[in-house]
Amino acid sequence: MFEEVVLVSLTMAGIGITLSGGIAALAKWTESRQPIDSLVERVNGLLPQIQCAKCGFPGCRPYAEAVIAGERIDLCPPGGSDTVQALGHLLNRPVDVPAETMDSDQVAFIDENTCVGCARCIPACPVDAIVGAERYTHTILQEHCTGCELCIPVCPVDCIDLHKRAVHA
Amino acid sequence: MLERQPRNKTDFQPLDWRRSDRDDIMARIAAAGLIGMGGAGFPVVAKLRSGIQYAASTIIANGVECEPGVNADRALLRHYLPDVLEGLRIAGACLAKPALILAVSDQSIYQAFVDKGELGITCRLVADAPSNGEERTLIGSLFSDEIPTTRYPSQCGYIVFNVATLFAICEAVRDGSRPRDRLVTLFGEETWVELDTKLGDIGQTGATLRLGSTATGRMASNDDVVSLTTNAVEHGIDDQQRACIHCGWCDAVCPRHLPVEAMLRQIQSATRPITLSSEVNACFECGACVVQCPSAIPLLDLLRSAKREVENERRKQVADLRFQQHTVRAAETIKQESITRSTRIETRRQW
Repeated sequence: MFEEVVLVSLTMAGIGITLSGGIAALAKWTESRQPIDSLVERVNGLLPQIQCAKCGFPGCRPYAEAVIAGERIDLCPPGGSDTVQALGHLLNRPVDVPAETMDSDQVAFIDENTCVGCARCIPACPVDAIVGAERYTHTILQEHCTGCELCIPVCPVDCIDLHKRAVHA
Repeated sequence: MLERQPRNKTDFQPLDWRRSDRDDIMARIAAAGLIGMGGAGFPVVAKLRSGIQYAASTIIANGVECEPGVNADRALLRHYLPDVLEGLRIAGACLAKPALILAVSDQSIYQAFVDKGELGITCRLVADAPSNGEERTLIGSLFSDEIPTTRYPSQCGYIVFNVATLFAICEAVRDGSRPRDRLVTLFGEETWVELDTKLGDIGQTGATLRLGSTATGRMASNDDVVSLTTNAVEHGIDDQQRACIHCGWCDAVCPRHLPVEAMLRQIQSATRPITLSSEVNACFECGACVVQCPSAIPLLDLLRSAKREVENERRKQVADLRFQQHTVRAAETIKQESITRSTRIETRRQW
């Protein structure tokens, strides 16, 4: 009887020690991984997500990763001084006023009378907001358009304009 | 009696709507460019078309005015009731014999209607409480019917027009004139104001101008104009804003039972993003909390800016996700193309 009790308690203790060790190791691992990932997330959250690539990176997330790796924080024109200040505050870096700014509250609009359906703008859109196929008139989903202006230079007939985003409520 | 600029000419031929086709009446309403004058500015013709499509059986003239300090609709009903009722009948002529209902919150107007009596129109009295004039709430209190937030009332059998809209319908169809002015509560006094009048030209300028009532109006400047949807021009809250004392009066008075005080704490703290986003979006801006607040906090301005922030945050998340998916797909396309190209080079005929 006594031996059984000792055996059971020892087994339970063993399981407990193994589990707690495992959990501690796991916690350590997640801790070691988390800061850099969550920092990218936080920097990415502060960026305006226009995906205009004016910073020289293909989009906001790549720029966020580059900022963590040491890139300058004042390269985002649509974000303007607000974004630079927020980034400087988060990363504890000196804040300079950005060289150029851009209206971040706009959407692109296709003049469907001029559009020839060449489909060149479709791969250019970073958020796939353009509807259409070759030789069919295109249109832009206002819901998804970020106003990044990337579709404008690729249009051969210059049928894309920028409008102020309509505000509801 | 209210003073109104007389008109010397009409824009259209007056239409005898009792002898006219439904399409003619609708075309006239469309030509006059009428929009809902209760505040939302929904195009009248679109609402009627939707009502026809979904076979709406009830038209409600919404004279329930619940914004504190605004009496434009009451004044309209007092002085121009026959025109409003004719507008209601005109709207009724566009549908297949709908029930016509006039909903009011003012006892004396109700009594005046009942004394006179009007064939085919029912008048219902609704309690004069904040938010009772909102159309879904109104339908709920009149018919105990709940309209899902994903649908318009016109898709569920009810068409709700503000009384000022019906007055404009009447003038457009019967008298053949475009809306040129509207009845506005101007610093506490009901006045006919020409549309597109700049607030700076009205007088009583100040830094705290509001388009709408003191509680629910939007901040405005001297360059803003009176439009079809302006029911009042007022000054803002005439009191210094003080710190929130967490009394919870705003929670108690909210007709949607929203945690106003908790939302305010999130808005005022630096914690971002706002996690009470669905609650923020559920606010329909009745202004009841602003009236209650003992610290004169401009709750509605803060909630409106929070709404914009929530929407912006949602848009950013969607754009981020779509950009990541776009990047993956674009890389795949390029890879596919290079594979196709290399296999073609490999399999080409050797000369």
